[in-house]
Amino acid sequence: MKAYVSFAIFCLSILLCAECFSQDSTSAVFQLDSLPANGIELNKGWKFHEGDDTAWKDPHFDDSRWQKADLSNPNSYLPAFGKRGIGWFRLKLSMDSSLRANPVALQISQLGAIELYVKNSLLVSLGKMNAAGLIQTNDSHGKPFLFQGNLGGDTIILAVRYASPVARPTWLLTFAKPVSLKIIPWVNAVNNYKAALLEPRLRIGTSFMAIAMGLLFIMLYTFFPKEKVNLLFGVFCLFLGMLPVLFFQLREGNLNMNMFGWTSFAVDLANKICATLILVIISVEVLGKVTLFQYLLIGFILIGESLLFLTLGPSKILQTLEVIAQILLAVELFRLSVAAFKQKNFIIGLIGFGPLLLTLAVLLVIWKLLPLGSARFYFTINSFLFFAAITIYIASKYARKSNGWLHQLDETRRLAAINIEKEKERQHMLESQNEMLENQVKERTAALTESLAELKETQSQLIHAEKMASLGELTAGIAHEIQNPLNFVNNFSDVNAELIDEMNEALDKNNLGEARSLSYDIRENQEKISHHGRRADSIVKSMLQHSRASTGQKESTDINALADEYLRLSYHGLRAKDKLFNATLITDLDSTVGEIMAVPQDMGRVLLNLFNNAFYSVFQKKINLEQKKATDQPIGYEPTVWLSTTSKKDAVEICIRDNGLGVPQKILDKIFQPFFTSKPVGHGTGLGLSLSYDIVTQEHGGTLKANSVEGEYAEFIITLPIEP
Amino acid sequence: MKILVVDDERDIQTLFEQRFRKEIRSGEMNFVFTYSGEEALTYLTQHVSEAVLILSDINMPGMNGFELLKQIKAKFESPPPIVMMITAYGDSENYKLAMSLGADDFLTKPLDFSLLKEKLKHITHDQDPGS
Repeated sequence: MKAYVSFAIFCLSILLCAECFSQDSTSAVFQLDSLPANGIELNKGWKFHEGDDTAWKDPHFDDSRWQKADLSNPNSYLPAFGKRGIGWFRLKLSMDSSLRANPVALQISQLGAIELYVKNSLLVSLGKMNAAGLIQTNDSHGKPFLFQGNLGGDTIILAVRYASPVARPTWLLTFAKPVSLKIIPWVNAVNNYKAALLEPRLRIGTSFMAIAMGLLFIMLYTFFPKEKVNLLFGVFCLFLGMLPVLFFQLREGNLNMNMFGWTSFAVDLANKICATLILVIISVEVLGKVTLFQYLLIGFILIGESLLFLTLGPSKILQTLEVIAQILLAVELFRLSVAAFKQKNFIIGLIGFGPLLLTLAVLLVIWKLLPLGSARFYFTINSFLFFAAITIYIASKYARKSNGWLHQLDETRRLAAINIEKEKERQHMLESQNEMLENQVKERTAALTESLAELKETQSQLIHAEKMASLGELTAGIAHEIQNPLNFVNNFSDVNAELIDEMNEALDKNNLGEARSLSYDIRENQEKISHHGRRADSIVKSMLQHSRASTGQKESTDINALADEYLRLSYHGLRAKDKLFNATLITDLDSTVGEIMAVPQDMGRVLLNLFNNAFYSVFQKKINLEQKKATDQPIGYEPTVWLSTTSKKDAVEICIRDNGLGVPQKILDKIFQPFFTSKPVGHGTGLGLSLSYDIVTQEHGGTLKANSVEGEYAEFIITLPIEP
Repeated sequence: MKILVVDDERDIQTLFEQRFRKEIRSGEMNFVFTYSGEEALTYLTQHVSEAVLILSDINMPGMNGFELLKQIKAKFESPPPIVMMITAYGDSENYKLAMSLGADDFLTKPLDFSLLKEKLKHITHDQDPGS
């Protein structure tokens, strides 16, 4: 910041000094001693009077009471212009004799119409005016008018009649000097004029370029709506292009001063915006932000200067401030450009230099080191640079972006390729793992299948053993069962033998009555023999049935008879095994329970199993109680087994209940599992209930349920459907 | 002599009646048949000291012979009736048990009635030397 301030002060001082080179403003005569190549502006020493009077063209008219005017400072005379806007200027010009030799030209530029009188005769007339005021303006574009210096003596009186365009506020006129006269060597004047003639073409060229650029940017924006900066540039360029055209059109022909003034103001502002825009772009590119200093500078240039101009008009202070601001801008741009170069951002660096060059050129013009024409040239170059810079900037940005995108695309492709490779690898790995697992599974399955086959084999063996065991249990019971009938067969046969002897004795004694009575006895006994014989026979038959492997054929079976038979079989079987074994049998057979389709051997096995369990349980309980009791008192426990059949709707219910040890709740649902037994090793295979369950549920489609309270009772309920 | 026969087989009655035809006719013996241990006890309670001899099967549903034996020996002491066990289980274990419970004799099925008659003769002579 310090550097800027000191630099600015330095420039300011130079400017003020530059001012000193101008002529003394207080002298009444404009003394022209030497004529520099670029001519001298006849600005000071004029006298001015508002109004219109042809007498004022006379060189001898006394204008001593007229007010002083400085043509370069419109404020010195404009306010005095009256309603009509016509006024006269008079100047005493004294030219040195050395200057008279070479031809000299007058370059006039004005806003409005002008008539120049020398020695009472009209020398130059530009535009049209009448007594009422300005009719038509005419810009001479700096056309030189030959000014003969030796027109009657050393001192010449120049009288200018000027009709100004009306403008409110009047400072609008000050964009261009309303009246400006310059004395310049003829040759240079002609050259300047030629250059000036080219200027409009250059300007129009620039305008067209700007408009074209603007349209281009707007087109870009329509293609890439995301990049709003394109729209900004497009609109601005269009504006920039159209303004000068408008501006210079307004200068010709009928001048609407208000519009002209405002347009000039706008053009000026547009140029300022150009410069500040470049600053913003470059700052964002290089620093990534806009600094506070830059914000202040931009604010001053755009807002501050405009406000100052609108309120104060074109004043020396404003001009100075403007130059300072421009210098600061240029220096800031220089700083950023250097930084850009350091960042290897060459394009941005070059863009930044444009305004710098222009500022340099402006300064050089101010210091009168460069002709004004070349300044214009530099200005055009600057405009061109601006557009070029913007275009290059955007192009480079796009290039970078698309490079970035291409790069990203390549990256993505590369990563995708890597991904695919990895995926393939993974796939392979998974496949090989799968294969491995498959093989393992196959092996294990084979192993398991073997084990399963073995187990099934073992299981069938065990079932067979169970059946054999139950069969073994049966035989004892059956053997005993047979004994009773056989007993009767033998005894009654013996009795009959005796009775037959007695009958014969009676017959010998001719005791027919006795003989007949005896024969009745014999017959009765005979029936009993038959009965018991058949009983033995059926017992043997049923035993044979048990030993026969079950065919699974259902036959019409008397459930009551079956249950009763097996109850007794079980009972006697157990009593045969254990002499002390005893229990009370209570049967309650429902007579309405008839015959149902069942496999008698298998059902019988089930009933046998349940009865065996019941008897075993009550017997164990008795033993336990007897062991526990202290004295010889009777234990009061009556081992009892109940068998009841009930006829239900569509089913027959067989209930076997005992008041034995019962089954703990915990294992109640496990008792039907194969190999589950509460008996010690060797006393039961644990298959009985499991087999029974399968026979009842799977073979007969019935249900087998168990209820129990441990230590109190156990109850097994078989439900068989009548229609299987 | 009154003899109480306890056996769950009903045909036992017919057999005894046939076999002891003469003795029944002569009034030498008088048979009462009950078909369970409980029935027997009931009878004995109702007809105290009437039966001098009790022939009981061992294998019976409900109260078996041994139980009955115990009960008789416990409840009917004066005079204690003679109790003979009749059973199909003729092994030594059963015999020992019967004896230990106080049975007077032990017979096996099928009944040898001649042997039985012999034993009964001895009893009648023992019981009633006069008759």
